[in-house]
Amino acid sequence: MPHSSRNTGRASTRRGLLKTLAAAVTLGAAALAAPQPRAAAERDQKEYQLKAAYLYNFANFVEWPAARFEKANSPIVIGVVGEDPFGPILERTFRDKKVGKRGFEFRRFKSVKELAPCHMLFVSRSEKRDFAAIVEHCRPRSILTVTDGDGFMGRGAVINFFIEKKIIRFEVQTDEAKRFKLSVSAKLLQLARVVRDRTPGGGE
Amino acid sequence: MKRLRRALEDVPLVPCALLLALAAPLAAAQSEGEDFPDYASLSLEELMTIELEVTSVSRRSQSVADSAAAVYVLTQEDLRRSGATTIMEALRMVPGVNVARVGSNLWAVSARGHNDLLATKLLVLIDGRTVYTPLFSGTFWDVQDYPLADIERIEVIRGPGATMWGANAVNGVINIITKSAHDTHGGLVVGTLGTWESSLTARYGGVLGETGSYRAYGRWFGREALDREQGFSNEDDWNQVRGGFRADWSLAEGDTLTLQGDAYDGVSNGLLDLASFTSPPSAPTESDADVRGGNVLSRYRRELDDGSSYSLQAYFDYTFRDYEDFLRERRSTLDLDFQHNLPIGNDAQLIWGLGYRLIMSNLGSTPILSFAPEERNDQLFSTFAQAEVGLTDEVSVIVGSKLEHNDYTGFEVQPTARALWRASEDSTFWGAVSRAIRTPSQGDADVSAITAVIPGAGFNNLVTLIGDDIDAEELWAYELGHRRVLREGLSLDVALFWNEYDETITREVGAPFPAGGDVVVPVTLDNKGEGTAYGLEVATEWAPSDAWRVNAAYAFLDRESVLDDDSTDTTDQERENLEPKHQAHLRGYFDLADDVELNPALYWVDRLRSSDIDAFFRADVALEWRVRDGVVLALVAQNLFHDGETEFGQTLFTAGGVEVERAFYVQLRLGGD
Repeated sequence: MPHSSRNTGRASTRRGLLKTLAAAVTLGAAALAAPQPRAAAERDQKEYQLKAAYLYNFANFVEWPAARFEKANSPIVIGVVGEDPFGPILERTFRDKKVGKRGFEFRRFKSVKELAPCHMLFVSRSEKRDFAAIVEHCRPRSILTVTDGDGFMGRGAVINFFIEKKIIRFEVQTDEAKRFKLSVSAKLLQLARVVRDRTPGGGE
Repeated sequence: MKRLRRALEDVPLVPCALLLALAAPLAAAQSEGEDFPDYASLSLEELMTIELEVTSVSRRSQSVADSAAAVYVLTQEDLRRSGATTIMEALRMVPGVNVARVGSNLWAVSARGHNDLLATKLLVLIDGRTVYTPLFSGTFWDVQDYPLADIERIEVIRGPGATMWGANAVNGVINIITKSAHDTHGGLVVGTLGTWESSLTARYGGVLGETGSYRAYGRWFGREALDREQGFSNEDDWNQVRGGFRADWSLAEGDTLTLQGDAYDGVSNGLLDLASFTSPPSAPTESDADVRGGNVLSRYRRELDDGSSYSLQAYFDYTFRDYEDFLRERRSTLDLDFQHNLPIGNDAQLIWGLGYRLIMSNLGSTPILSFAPEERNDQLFSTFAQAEVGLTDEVSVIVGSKLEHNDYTGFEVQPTARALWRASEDSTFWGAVSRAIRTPSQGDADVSAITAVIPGAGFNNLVTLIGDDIDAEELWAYELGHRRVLREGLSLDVALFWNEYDETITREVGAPFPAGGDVVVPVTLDNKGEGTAYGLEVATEWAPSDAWRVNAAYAFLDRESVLDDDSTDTTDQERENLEPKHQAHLRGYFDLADDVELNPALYWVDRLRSSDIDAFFRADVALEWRVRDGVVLALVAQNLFHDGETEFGQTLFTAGGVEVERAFYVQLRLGGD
């Protein structure tokens, strides 16, 4: 920038050219770098702000086996595995939120290999390939698997998000919930699309 | 360029650009900062009213959960618990499907009637690959095999599925779907040792690069011959080796790529009852078949940001079957399929597609069975469009049609109209009207088969089935269905249908004519039949607890055929009773302990009136013990009550009377889930 400002006193053609060049580059960069990702980020942000709120609701309407908590006030631990679409949204959404006496804690896992105890695990779209291994980890530990879109239902997802008519909705695989020893309240099922083992197309 | 420069010079560019570059992140920072919405304090109902500006790529997959058709799904658990060792035997569990053993390696399978060894009105697919043979528009079941543990589900649609699936989906569609390679990491070995069969299957799967998975399997089975009721062996022992692979990649958001293939080689032995000059009219003749085949398939599926998706599938399939002195079939099929799925507005969805199939066949001729021409290349062009429109939140309507062009009957239209009403959370009603056709097979058009030799004075009468340029058989089907959760753990699925068939195939007896010292009695194929069929299918599932589940099903079917006045068909009257009027079954899944399962099943099949086949009970019991993680031992008894009942009568080339035996096996499974 200082360089180009020093050139502003020169011949008008050259000045014009440089100015044009600088402007084109900057405009181009601005056009490429800022507005598009911003639109995408904004869209994703709203989507994941809403999904974070859904996670909070799920925590309210799902019951874990008592043995999964040490004490009556032990926190509910929410994990995210794979590329994290939430960023700081999770912590902000759950700030000061409680279910009964339980607060919330969050853990991020890069991949299935890092998985550590939690109660609810949000499985990012990046983890489709390793999902079978994730389920193998989660099922015996009653870790509620919440998955993000196509390609998970019928493979061990208990709750899966989908978008219908621009509205975020969710489906619950009730047979899977039983195998996970999770009890899902009727209130949640009323609003869910219920999927069972025998539901056609419940798989991919 | 000049004009652009001039235009740009008119604005104070540098400050402007700077401002722009700075403003974007600032604006973004602000939206992150001040007004973080407190969605978490909203109820679920409230959350479900908030619209996203842009439809995300995590669009819901086209689901047939609320399907306006009579669909039944066999899950991997059903396959495992049933103790079935073949896909065909597993299909006994589907309400309204009739499965009959005709020999050790022969099955007659159909839905809603018209069952036969050469059953022609059922479309069978494995991972989107059509496996029925255009030779007779039926399925050679002996070569339809896969490691059962790697099958994810078998979806069976009773009734026409022609709009989506194409010709031959007249009475039903059987769609066998194998697991994604992402779900079969690790090793699995299954060994089976039994009184009727032994088999060994090995599979290994793992990761492939950053985003892919693969599996590869090998399999062998050998099965014993059965006896005929006359007291001699049907000599139909058989064995097969098979190997295959599947690879799946999850590419960028939502995009998937699948590549898979299989190959097999085996022998299917047996006696066929062929026309005989030495022992007229026909005699059991040793007809051992060499069977070989293979296929490769790739499928690419892409999801776009606007909520639409498309898939492109291509496969090549080769089959070879050689019965010495009877039939030799060599066939290559190339199939391309494109499908596009797009939302229209908020409440509608359009699916359309294009398909092309090239079938290259080469048939051998023998003295009793020949084809003219022996070699032919057939092409099939097809396109379809189907729209699903949500009229209200509770009612949606589906209309669509398939248009195809085949080399036998030209253009064919197969429309459907369906409606679904979600009356409440626990109850849905559906109805459908559809037209489907069964295109003539290569055999129908080109065959010349001596089916019986009747000695005369100094010459033989050769009863000869002669193919002809016939029309497609037509069906108009009217269906109604209801699904309901009666109470927690008890569900009910009822379907009613009324089928009107027209232009059905008849066998017209013509005037005898001399040929080379003998007399040919020609039986020519024509379309001089019509008929109706109606029926009811009921399936219930009752799960009183997590450890106990009971499935019960009942199916009723009645059928009537009428011949045109000028028809000389003498066989058709019998053909209406080739399937049972009533069928029922009761299956239980009982978890006796955490690691022990008992799975009994009882099937009842009404008599087949056309061929004096008695009604029979069949009982199967599978006991499974999970010794420890990754080690499972199963003991299975099949056909427990009854030893040696006959399940099917005479067919074109078999005399019937093959007795299905009681069988036991023990199975050891290492690895897997």
